[in-house]
Amino acid sequence: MADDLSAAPAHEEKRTFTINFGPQHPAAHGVLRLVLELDGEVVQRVDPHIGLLHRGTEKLIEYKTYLQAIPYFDRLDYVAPMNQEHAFCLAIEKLAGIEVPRRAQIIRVLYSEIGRILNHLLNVTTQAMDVGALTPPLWGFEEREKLMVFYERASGSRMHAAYFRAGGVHQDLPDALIDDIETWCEQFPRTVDDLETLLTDNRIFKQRNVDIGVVSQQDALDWGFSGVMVRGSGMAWDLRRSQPYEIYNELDFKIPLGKNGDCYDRYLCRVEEMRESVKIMQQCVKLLRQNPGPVLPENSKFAPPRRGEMKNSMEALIHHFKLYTEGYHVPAGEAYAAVEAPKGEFGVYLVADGTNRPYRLKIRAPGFPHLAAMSYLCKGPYAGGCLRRARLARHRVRRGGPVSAVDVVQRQLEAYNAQDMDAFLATYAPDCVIADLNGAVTQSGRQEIQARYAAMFAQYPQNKARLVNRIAKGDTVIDHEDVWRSPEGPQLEAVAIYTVKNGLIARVDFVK
Amino acid sequence: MSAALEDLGAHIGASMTHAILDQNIHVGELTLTAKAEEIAAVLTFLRDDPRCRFTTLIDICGADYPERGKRFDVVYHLLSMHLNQRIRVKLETDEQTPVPSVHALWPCADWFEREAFDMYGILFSGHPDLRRILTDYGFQGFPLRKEFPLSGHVEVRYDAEQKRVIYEPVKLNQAFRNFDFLSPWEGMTLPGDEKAGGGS
Repeated sequence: MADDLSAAPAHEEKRTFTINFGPQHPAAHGVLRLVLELDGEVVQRVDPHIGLLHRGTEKLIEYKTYLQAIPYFDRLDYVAPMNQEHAFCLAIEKLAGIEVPRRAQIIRVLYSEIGRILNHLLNVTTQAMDVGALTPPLWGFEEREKLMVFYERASGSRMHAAYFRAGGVHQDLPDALIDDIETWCEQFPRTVDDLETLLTDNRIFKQRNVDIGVVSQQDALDWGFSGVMVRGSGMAWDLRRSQPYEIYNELDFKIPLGKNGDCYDRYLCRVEEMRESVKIMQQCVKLLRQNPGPVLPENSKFAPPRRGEMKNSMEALIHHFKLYTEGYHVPAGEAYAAVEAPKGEFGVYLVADGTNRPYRLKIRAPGFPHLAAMSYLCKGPYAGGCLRRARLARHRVRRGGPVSAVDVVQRQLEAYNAQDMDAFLATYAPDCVIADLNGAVTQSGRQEIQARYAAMFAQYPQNKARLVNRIAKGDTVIDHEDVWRSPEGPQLEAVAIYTVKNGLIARVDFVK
Repeated sequence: MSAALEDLGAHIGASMTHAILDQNIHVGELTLTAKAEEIAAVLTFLRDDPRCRFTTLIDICGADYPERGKRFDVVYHLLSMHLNQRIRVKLETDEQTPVPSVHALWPCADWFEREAFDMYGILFSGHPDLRRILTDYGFQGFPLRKEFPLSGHVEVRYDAEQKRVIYEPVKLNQAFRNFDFLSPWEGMTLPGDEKAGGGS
């Protein structure tokens, strides 16, 4: 045994740390545990444990009637409760062929947009808190409080509204509430402006968000992203526009897009989406004034009869009793309905067997695939950053880990050690320059770099570089490496200064 | 909409005759039933074919039909952001037969398959890391199977004497009541019903 150990080449020795991040970390507050494998400060592997708050909602719903199942949806994401109910109601309506009255559609859109602002306010302001700013959450939460009052005035509850019904919404909105929402819509953009003065051009905020968590379009497709996670990367995809439901196709609103797919662009998208949501709400307020009428289908097996009818008609009374005991029956079949929830595509796959309860109900939460990409996105960068990024994860929309300068250099190093020429060259800009520290250019352009390293790889097939130390600042990464030409030696020391531009290595200066 | 889906279904059916067992369109949604062992080929085709381009894997989930021989459905939902269309692919399997994993096509399939395994015990062959994902550490059983009780088998509490959280078999002070509100009259034709319908 001892012989074996001594025979092992010294540079193969590697100790990695395994640490727990969460569930008791204040940033994870009981919902998320990350098992991080660290090599020094560099994250080698992330294993998120996400089931700590799993409550068996899908199982519970199989034992409830359709109406009883609605409140479970509020609890899936209490930051924007009604958006979840919406998807479930759409699935039932699709299977049962229920027509939703126009006024109910308008109310649903109005409250979905309130939900979107509720969510984005929380997201944007606590993101700012995560990087060190305390004022934005105080300002943002004041507005959230007002919105939750609108929730309460419509549904009776600040969060767990249980307001949407298959076929419409539970109650009509009083006129005074509509007036107050209109007043709020007028003053809210000023709050967004104020938030932006604190954040958008803030140097610290930009340092900690620009080029952090870059998601390429291909990543977004591969990992099943949706919502702001794809729009931040420049893909024009919003279900409200591409697969419109309710009255979204009549409304005038824009879909803000990002360009770089980093945390900062997603922040900008969310801020713009809040402004667009306010525009939608104002249009809804106008439409509500023009469209009086019922908010549930009339003479329907899916909606209760009016109070007045119940006083006079035996059938209406029986219907009411049956509806709230047995519940309505949804015809057998399966349907998938999705809404553009604030965090992305929230979908409900409903299998009905013709009874009063769902046979199987699968909830497709947008955050699940976003979290699944965590390990992929967090590999490489430093643990401190990982905590920050993991902190953001609790909002279920992942804002990812950096594919920053460090990441490119790390990929370069890995490809170098694997002697994978294609991957190695892919990290260099086409016009990359390699120079000695005194400025003498040794190679210029990918072709020359390829020639140099092809010769080196051929000469030393077992060549390995081991990182001794790494300093990163902005676009500059300085690596101190031990290079072993073969497992037995000889060993050389190298210090390389990498300059990264647009995600590619633009210049390398070697200090030998 | 429906015509476009029929076209698409016909196109897929013609291209993958050996792998597609059945297809239907219900409430504006196209559903394919595929052979379990061919699923990777079918999904690769759906992802790469220029008329399909279902590049986003929305969801993979299980469903349990215990009265069937192959009791589980595995349901794949795909989305094409390029062509703005959706599709559902289903296959059947049982407790023993593994389904080929598709994590190589979409990395996010990794977690979806772990979830289906966790909830139903559906096995995926070639999966890099088929662990439980949502249930408790040391959890026994597959909670979304129809025979699994809603209350579960164990409950946890903090034991003051042992100074730690302990697991115990579930004790219900009141028996679990699963009310059956289904009307026995539903769907039944009673003598004289035809007169009620014919009057209007």
